[in-house]
Amino acid sequence: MTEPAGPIFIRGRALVLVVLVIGFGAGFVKSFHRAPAGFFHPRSIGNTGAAEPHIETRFVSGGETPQTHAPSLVELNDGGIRAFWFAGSREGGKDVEIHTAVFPPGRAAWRGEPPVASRAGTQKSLRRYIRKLGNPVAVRAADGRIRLLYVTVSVGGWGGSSVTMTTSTDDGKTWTPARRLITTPFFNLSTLVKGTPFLYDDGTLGVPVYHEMLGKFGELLRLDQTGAVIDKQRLSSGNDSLQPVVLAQSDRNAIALMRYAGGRPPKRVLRVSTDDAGRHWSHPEKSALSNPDAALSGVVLDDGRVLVVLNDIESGRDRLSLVASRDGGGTWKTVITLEDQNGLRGRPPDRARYLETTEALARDSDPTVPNPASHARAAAVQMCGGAGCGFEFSYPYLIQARDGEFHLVYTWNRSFIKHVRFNRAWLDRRLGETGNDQRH
Amino acid sequence: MINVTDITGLAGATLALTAPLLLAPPVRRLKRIHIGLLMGATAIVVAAPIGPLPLAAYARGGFGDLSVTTNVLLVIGIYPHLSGRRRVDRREETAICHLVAVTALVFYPLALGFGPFDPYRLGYGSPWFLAGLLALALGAWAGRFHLISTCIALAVLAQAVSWNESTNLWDYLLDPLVSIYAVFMVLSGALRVVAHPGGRDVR
Repeated sequence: MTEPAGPIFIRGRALVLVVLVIGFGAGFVKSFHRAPAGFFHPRSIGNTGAAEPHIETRFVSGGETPQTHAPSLVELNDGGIRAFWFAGSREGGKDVEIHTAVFPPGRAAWRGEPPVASRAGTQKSLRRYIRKLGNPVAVRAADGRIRLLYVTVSVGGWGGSSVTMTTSTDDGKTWTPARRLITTPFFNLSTLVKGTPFLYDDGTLGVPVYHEMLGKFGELLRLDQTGAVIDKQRLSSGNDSLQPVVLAQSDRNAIALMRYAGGRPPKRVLRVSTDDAGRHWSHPEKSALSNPDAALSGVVLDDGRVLVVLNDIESGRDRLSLVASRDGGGTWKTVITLEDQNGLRGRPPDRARYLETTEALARDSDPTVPNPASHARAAAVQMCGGAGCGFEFSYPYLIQARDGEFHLVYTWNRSFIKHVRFNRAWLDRRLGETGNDQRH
Repeated sequence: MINVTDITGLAGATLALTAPLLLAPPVRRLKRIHIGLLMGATAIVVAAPIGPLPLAAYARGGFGDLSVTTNVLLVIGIYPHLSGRRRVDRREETAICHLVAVTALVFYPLALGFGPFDPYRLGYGSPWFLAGLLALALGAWAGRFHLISTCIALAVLAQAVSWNESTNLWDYLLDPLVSIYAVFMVLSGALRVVAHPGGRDVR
């Protein structure tokens, strides 16, 4: 056997051994210092909201861009709410940016602010080519900073996505240069965010993500306090689950609900559960909730009830409901149907009728809108085609603020972001009323 | 301010875009000093910002950061042309190509969702995974496959010091480019054996 005659570092046997000792020494030191698995840290927000039941709706965005989609929310230190969504000429367009607006405390209107991320800016920060931006989600980290995670694509469609993160130390006024999270070994392709991130008890961050190249399945990232990925776990496998939402009921118990992307009826939200803080998850099962391959969102109340907002139909996204469960997602009861144009499905309205209907919807959604007809026209641009016009109320994102108030945002006909705010008293009254509930 | 991982990532992309020059026979016939100057000039063009981003950044946007294995193979591929020294032992190159090819063919389908088990998760600091790699590296060292031992050890070290953007050890061991190269080399070696049974495997 001949001694290799390459560069010096692979020629000497002793030197190779030294490299082995140094490399693995450093590797084992790092491995033994990694954060142990954390426990869930469910937020305990009691009934601190206003005593009088109330629900109110308004638009967040003002129609500055033709298309808007995929909103998310984070509570600010002063009790205000900041929303994020992506918007541009069309989904996947090069002009799509991550927009933001603030709902200040004590006010009843959203205040738009300049976009927080653009394709060019992200490209400059990441020092790599970026083709388009997508879903943003925000979370307040244990150290008080806001982390904004959003989808970026360098090559191909959404299946080629990766997750990019930027951080703010001043509640969203300024943002650090973006950094990319590496989450898959194959060109870092196919990790997307949508579900609400959450904190573990050790301050690490859980980020529900999903994969949609070759297979479609839910995953859970864990980020340390510097924002580095320290673990990734599959919540499901196969080709039929997307956009997990993790709902922790205690430090060890949680369910994760996932959008059903399969074609096998009945089309239902998929559900997995854990009783050991996510060390192990059950196999996905179809829940009682209908799902038309659309995103959902939810929160857990301090009394263990689970609230979920979703398109509770098997096709289309023209009905959106708030549902509640008292038994950890076993059975569900409709609290309110927030939007419902499902009855028009069989006979899609022509443009004139669509404009009339949508103008009325816009007026009902936000009485302060100066010109509901312009909202209707903007919606028609997105939702009318050769086969008539349709409705879409999708991609809900629900949070509960420290004052007990619930804030929900969702895509309204692909052209606006709508905000619904309600309190615990309203919720309890709705759930206590008879005749308005539909059991699932 | 530019991050260290951006510098290492762009350097890897520059290396990957520059090294293929040596595939051109006219370049290989040049004097060593001319090869060095040509590669240096090419590297500057690739790494210098032209428009919003350097060419290396576009490449990095497409294929990501290169693994340590790829970087080592590129360096030992370029090294003889610049130094005049002999190539690494063929046996070593063949062994690492077989190891990379077999690992990639098992690893990537599983990591991309073929079945419920995700081997990529092991790369987030599993001591058992590290122990397995140590055993493999020591076995390779004992068998005098020093290139394998060196690549594994440097990958583990690079991950420990956060050389690349990724925090996952797999990304330091393997990447799709080296996997494609290894599979190609293994298949072309096998075809040569089939075409010339009993013949010497020459390139």
